[in-house]
Amino acid sequence: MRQAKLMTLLAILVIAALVVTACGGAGTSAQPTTAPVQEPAPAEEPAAAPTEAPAAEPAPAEMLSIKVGTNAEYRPFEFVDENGQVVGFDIDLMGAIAKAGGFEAEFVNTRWDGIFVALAQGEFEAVMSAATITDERKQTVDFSDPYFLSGQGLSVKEGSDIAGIADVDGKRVGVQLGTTGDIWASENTGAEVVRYDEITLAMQALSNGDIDAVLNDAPVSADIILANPELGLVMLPEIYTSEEYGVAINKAKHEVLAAINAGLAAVKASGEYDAIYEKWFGMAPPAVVAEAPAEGEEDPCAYGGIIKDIVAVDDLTVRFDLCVPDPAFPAKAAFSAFQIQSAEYLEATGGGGDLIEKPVGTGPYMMKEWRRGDQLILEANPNYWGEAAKTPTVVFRWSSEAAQRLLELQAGNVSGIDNPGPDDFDVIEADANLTLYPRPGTNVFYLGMNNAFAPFDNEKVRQAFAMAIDRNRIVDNFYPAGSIVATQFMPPVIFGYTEGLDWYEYNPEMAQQILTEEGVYDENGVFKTQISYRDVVRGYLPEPGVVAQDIQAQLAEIGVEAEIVVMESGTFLDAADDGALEGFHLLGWGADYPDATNFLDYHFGASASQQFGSKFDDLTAILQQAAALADPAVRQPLYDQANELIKQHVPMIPVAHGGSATAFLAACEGAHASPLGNEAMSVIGCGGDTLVWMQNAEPIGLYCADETDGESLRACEQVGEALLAFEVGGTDVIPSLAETWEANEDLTEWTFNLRPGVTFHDGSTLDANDVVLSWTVQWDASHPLHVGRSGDFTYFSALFGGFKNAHTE
Amino acid sequence: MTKYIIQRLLAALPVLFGILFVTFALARLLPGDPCVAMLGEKANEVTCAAFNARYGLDEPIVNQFVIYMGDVLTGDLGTSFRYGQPVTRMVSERLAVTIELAFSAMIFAVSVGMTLGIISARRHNSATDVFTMIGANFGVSIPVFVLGLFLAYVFAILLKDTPFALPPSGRLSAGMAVTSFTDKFNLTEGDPLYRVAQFFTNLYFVNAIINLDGELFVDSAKHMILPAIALGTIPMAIIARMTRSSLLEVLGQDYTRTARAKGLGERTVLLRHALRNAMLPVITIIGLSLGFLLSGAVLTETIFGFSGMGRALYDGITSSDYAVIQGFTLVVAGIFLLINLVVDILYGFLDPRIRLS
Repeated sequence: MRQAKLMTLLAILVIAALVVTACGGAGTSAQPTTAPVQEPAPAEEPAAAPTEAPAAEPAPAEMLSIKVGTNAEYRPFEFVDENGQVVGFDIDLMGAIAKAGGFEAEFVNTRWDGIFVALAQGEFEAVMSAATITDERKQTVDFSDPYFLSGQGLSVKEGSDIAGIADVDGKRVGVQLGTTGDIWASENTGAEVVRYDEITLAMQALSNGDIDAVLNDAPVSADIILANPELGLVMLPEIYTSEEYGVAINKAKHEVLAAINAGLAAVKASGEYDAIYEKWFGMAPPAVVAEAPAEGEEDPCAYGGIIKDIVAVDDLTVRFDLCVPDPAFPAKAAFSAFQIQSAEYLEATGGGGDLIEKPVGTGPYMMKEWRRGDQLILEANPNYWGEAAKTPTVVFRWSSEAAQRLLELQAGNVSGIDNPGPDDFDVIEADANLTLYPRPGTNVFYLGMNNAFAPFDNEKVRQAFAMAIDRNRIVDNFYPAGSIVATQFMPPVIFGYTEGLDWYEYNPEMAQQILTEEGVYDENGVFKTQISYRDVVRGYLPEPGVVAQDIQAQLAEIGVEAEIVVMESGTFLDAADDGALEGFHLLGWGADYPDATNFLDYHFGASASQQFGSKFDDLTAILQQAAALADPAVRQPLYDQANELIKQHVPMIPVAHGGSATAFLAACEGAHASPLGNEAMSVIGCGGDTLVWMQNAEPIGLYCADETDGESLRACEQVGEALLAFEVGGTDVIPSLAETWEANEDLTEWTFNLRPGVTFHDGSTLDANDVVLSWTVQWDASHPLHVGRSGDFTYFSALFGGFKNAHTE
Repeated sequence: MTKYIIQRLLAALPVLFGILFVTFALARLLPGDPCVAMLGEKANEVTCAAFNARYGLDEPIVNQFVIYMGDVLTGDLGTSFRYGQPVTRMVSERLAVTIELAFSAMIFAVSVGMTLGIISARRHNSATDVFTMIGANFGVSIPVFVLGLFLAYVFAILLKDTPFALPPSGRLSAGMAVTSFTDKFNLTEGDPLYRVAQFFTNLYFVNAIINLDGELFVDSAKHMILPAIALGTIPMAIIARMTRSSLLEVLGQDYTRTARAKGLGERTVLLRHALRNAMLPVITIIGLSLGFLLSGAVLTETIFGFSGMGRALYDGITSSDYAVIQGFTLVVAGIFLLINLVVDILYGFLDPRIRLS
C-alpha cells in the first residue's frame, strides 16, 4: 500500500516535471514581459502615413504572419505610451512594411537582454528594436536591408551660421563624455570639445549659448529637440559615422526576410517612409554625408582573407580580385568544394535543405535517388556538355570494413571498391578477375628537427642524421603497397616536385663519424635526445607507434639514445607550431590542394611556424619568388632550387609518401585511382548498365561547399563541377566550366571565361551570376544563403584565409 | 495488470536516468575532440569555437547535462554533429533496419533453436543429440564478426554463380527500387506522419508486402539471410540447449508419465504436455536474447553494411558524436526495458500460477 502511494507520488512528480519542462521549453532566456501589444495605433497627425494594422484587412488564406520582438524602452523608436500601447517609429514602420509586403506583423514586447537568443530559438520570427547591424549579430541572425541610418548628428541653435561639420573648427562643440560623438569630435574636428555627463545638459547649454553645437547620436538628439521645442534647436541634415539599423530575422526564416525586404523597399519608394520619419523625428531623413575623414574607404581586405572581390564582368566572364598574389588559385578553384551551383536553386533551397540532399549540378551524372543508409543512385546526364558518361547508372554503396568491400568485389556485386586493405593487395593482384590501381599519396611523412636546439642548430649534424635513417626499411615494413620512399618533401604527383632529386644515401658509419667530429656525443659516446609523436593514424603514417620504435632503434645503432615521448594530438601540434619540440618529431602533411605552395610555403616559407626553428633565408626568398609567378614552366625551376636547398639545410628528413589503392573488376575500362581521391565514374565502363562503386562510408551531404570528408566529395564530383577540374587520375588543372583562365601581372586578379551553353540538371543555363553567387555564399558569412549543412564551410576558410563579415574573436 | 505495467514503467525511469547519466559521461570520456573529429585537423580555433558554441559544448559540463535532460524530457534527443540532423530523425530512419534484422535473427534462433532442442531431448544421448549439442556449443562460442565474415565468404565467393549464392552485404541489390511511403502519401518533413511513413518505408519486408512487390521481398530476404544467421546463431545455440535441458526435466516428471500411461501418442505428449511446461525458462532466454540481438546488431550491421541503430552507434562512437551516442543508447536501453517487461507479462500467460502483482 505504502509502495503504491509512493509510486503514485512519483508518477505525479514525473508528470509535473514533464509539463513544466514542456512549457519552459526554449524560453529560458527571454520571456515576454508583457502580453503581445496591438498593432500600431492609427496615426493622429495628419502628416503621418496610413499605418492601419494590416490585420484589419481580410487576410488571404495563406498570409504570412510573423511575431516581431521589440524592447519598448527606446524613444522614439519604440516605447510604451501613456495608454500602455507600444508605439514608435519602428512600430509604425513595421506596420507599413507589413502592409506593403502582404503579411501580418504582431509585436511582442520583451527584454533587450537575450532578445537575439529568443529570436534564434524561434520565440519570434523577427526583432525590430533599433538594432544596429553588426557582424557579431550576423553570426546568429539575418538582417533585413537597413531601414534606418543612425550616426552622429550635429545640433545647432536655430539660425546658427554653422551649416555642417566643416564650420565647427575653432567653435565649442558639446558632447556626452565618452561617447562616439566625443571621440569623433576630438579626432576629426578642430573644435574645442566640451564634455557633459548628460546629453540633455549639453542641449541645455547649447540653448543657453554656452556652446555652439552638440554632436551626438542623431536619433536621440532629434527626439530631444522634437520633445523640447522651447530650446529652439535644430539638427543639421547630415550624419557622420554611420550605423545602420536593420530588422533581425531568424536565420531559418528566409521567407520572412524576403517579405520584409520587399515591404521595406516598397515603403521607401512610396514616400511613406519619409512621412513616418517626419512624424517621429520632426525632419526629413538625413542625407548620408561623405564618409568621415578618419574612416576613409573601408579596406576590403581588412577581414584577413585573400579574396577581395568576385565580379561578374559579363555573362560569361568572372573575375576574382585577390588581396595577395596566389599562384595556386586555379588549383584551389578546381576543388570540388567550390563547385558551381545554379543561382536559382541556391536561392530556392535557401542555401541548405534540398541543396544537401538533392544536388543540381552540371556534371556527367544527375541525382536520381539517395536512400539514406543504403545507396546513392545517379543517372547519366543526357545533356552533358562534355563526353557522355560510359555507364547509364552509377550506384554508390559503402562499407567501413575493407574485408567486406573486397568480398563484394570478389562476388561481383560491385564494380569497384575504394581502399582495399593493405593485406589484401596480394590477393587482388593474384586474382585474374580483379585489377588493383595503386593511388599515389599526396602526402609526406617526415622526421622533423628544430634548429633552435643544439646540436640541431648545426647543419652538418642534421645532414648526418639524414644519413642515419634507413627510410626504405620503414616504408617496406610499415607502409601499405602503393606507398613510396620520399626523396624530398614534395610528393611526386604534386606540382613542385623535382624529378631526379635524391635524398642522402643511408650511411650510418658516415653519420656517426660526422657526429663525432661535430662533438655531439658525450664522454661515454652517447647522445641523448627524444622522439616526440602523437598516436594518430594518418595516410602518411599508418602505424605511428612502431615507426617511432623503429626510428629509435635505428638511432641507437649510431649511439643516439632517443626517448620516445607520446603526446596528445592537439598538444603535440601546438608544441610543433610553437617550436617547442626538442629532438626529433614525427609528423606529416596531406595536401589541401595540389600545389607546391601548400607544401613548401606552409612549412618553410616566410610565414611558416616555428616548427623547424629559424627560417632559411635563401629558401624563403626563392619560395617568395616562385609564389609570385603564374606560369608553371617558370615556377618549376625555382621549386627545383627550393627542393635542393631543403636537402642541403635538412629541416626535416622526408621518409614516405603513404599510398592507398582502388580495385576494380578486370573487365572495367577506364578504371583508375586518383591521387586526390576523386575518381571519375563517368569514364569507367564495366560492360553493364550499372556501375556499382563501394567506398568506406556514406556521403554526409552533397553540397560539398560544406563538407570535408572524401566520401562526400567523391560523390559530389560526379554530379557537380567547379570552374576548373583535375585531370582524371592526376592533379594537373584542366578546364571545366571555365574554358580558359588568366591572371594579371602580379597574380591578384584571376579571370575565368565560362563555357557557353552549359546547362544545369534543372535546365537553367550557366552564367557568371551562378559563379559569383556560388562563391559569395561561401565567402560572405553574412550572406543569407551562407547556410550549408553545418555552416562551417571549412575548406573555403582553410584555403582562402577566412570569411568576409565573419565574427572575429 | 494495468497497475503492474504502470509500476514497471515507473520503476524504469530511474534506470533510464542512470543510462542517460552514464552515456552522457562516457561519451565525454571518449578520447578525441568532437570538433577535430568532425571538421578535421585543419579546423582552426575560431571554427572550433563556433562549432562548440553551436552545439553548446562551450557550456560547463553540468549545464550541458541539465540542458540535455530537459531536451530529452521534451522528446528532443539533440542534433548529430556529424550529420547535422536531429537524432530523432536518424532513429526513425534506422530503427526499422535494426528491428527487421533483430526480428529475422530471432525467427531463425527460435525456430532452429527449439527444433534442435526438441530433437535432442527426444533422442536423448543419441548421436544426433551429441552432435547437435556440440554444434550448439560451437555456435555459442563463435563471435559474430567471425561467423559473419565466414558466411559472407562461403555464400558470396565459394558459392558464387550457384543458386545458393547470397550477397555478402547491403540490404538490397544496387539500383533496386523501393516505394517510399512518404512520396506515396505525399507527406512532407514536418508532417506528424512523416516519420512513421519513413519507418515503414525502411521496413522492407512490410513495405514489399503492402506494395505487393515480390521482387523487393525476395531481394531483401536474400540480403537478410546471412546477417540473420550471423546474429541469430548465439541465441539459437542457447535456446537449443535450454529447450533440451528444460524438456528433459519435464519429460521426467510424473505427469508426463501419466500422459504416456493414458496412451497418448509420443508426439502429443511431447508437444502438448511437455513442451508447454518446458517453455518457461526458454521464454526467459528468448527475452534475454533480444537484448543480445540489439547489442550484437552493432557488429552485424557493421559487417554487413546495414545502416541500422547499431551501425549508427558505432559510427557515433568512432567520431565522438555525443548526441548520437547518447540518443541511440537511450533508445536501445528503452527498447530493452520494454522487452523485459513484455517477457515478464508473457510469464503470466504461460503459467497462470505466476501472479504479476
